[in-house]
Amino acid sequence: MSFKKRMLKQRIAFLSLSIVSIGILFAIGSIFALILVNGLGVLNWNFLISITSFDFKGVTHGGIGPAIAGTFMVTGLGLVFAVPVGILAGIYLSEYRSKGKIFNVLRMMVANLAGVPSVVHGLFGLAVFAVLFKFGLSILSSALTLSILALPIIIMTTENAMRDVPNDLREASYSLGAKKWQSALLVVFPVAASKIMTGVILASARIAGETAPILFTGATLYLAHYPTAINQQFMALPYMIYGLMTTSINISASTNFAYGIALVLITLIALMNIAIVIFRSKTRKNS
Amino acid sequence: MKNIIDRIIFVSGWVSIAIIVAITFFLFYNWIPLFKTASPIEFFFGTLWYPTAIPPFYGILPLLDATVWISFLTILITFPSAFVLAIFITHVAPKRLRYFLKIFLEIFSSVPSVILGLIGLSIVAPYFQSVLNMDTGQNILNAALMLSLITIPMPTSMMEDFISAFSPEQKEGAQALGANEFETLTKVIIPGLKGPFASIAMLSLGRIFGETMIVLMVAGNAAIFPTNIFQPARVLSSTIAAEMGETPVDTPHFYALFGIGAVLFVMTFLINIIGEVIRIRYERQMMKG
Repeated sequence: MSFKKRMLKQRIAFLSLSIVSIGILFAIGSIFALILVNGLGVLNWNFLISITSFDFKGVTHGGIGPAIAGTFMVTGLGLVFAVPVGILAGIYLSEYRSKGKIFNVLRMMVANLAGVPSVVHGLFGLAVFAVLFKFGLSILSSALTLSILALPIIIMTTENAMRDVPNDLREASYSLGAKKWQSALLVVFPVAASKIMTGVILASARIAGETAPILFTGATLYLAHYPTAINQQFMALPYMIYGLMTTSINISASTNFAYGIALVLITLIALMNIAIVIFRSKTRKNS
Repeated sequence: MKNIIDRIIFVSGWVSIAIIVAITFFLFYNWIPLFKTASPIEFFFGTLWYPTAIPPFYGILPLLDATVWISFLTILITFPSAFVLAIFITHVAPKRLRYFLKIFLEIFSSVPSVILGLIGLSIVAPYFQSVLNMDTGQNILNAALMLSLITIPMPTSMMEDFISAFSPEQKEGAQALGANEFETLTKVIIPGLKGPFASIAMLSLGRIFGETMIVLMVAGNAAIFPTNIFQPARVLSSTIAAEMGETPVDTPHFYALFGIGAVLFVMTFLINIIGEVIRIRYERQMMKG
């Protein structure tokens, strides 16, 4: 084949690749656009803070205050459980058992835990936290279930962040007589902290949007007040979208409402992602 | 000498194994009592899933069948799309655009699946029904399309990492022999990445298999054996989500749903293990070479 023909072939291939790619990106972009356009019409201050007063039969007025509060509570409480354990587990994998057969098995289990379907986590939460531990259908049960989803994300980012810290630091701290844990927690961890932070934010974005794990561990479609204690059932943004779309009789009114909630949820998650990008650019500058 | 902090770190390090073991135990613990009412053969090979009928039927074969249909259709859409996108990002898009595309896909990857369910239900389903004249807009095709969209970012970013990290010596070798960028890509890079691509396909499949909310909302929820992609279907994961809320604890129906959970767990576990093993083997090869 002549040089010209080969270059033409390359050009045609790359052009058709571009067309397909732009099509896919357009489809993805239109999801954001649809939610923005349909959601903005519903959004106002009252929608964000007031108590829900629709009954899923079409009377869609009132707001989503309790659902926002519920989502924040389960996500926050889930992180309280997952962050310390996840960080320590990541430290174990990078500082204590950083190679060998046991390490490979442990790491594969972390990857597997990340791959467990979220509805299976829901079953586990129901059997263990709600029934066995008698926490019932509650914020506490849901938060514990979500913390298991967050765990592998935090473990993996912690391990990678700790590994990226140069060995000189560890050796320097040992030469000054530091013990292993002192070196890990007081010398290496502070350097890795901002990268670990990105993992924590990523995990919260993930669990804030989950529906299946809270479906039968404590979320409810309707609550006449803000949640006040962790042994109560709660409303959550993602579950509310599902409920509005599948149990309502007045579909057009509840669809609008659902888009309003979707916009709030996506905004929350996008803000967390932007925070990740900022954190990441900071760590790049430092190192 | 181990002090208390070392011990806490040690215990935390083993927590993920402990959780996996606990999940396995509780799924089977809540499944086995079902066999008093329905034999394992009825459960796995029964063709009817009517858990609330009198007498009830607990056969998961139709659910399994629909899961396979939807998963394969989805991977058929997702994998080539991700492949094209990864090449576009690494080889075609201008450098500046690359960075923004990566962030864009990353943000999209954390969009909750329930939101894709909302789009599928409120926009795609009515379109299928009124414009394309399908019997129902809530069907396998709709679910597979929404599932593909939400899955695309994961394989794309994995492929992209592998393509851009591909051995620079081999790339430069090909270019020194006069290959242009496209030829280097098709004749050197892609054949060299067969292993990782197989592993990416497995890992994506594992993800699609367990995805619940989209299928629950847009697949139409009929526990039948589908014969084409325009029919409604109900998969393993969405059956649990749809029914567990109204099922009393410690009834045969409750046990059967845990059984479905156990099947789902074991299948995704195996798929993920295979994916991981292929990836680790490839990485070892790369280190040796």
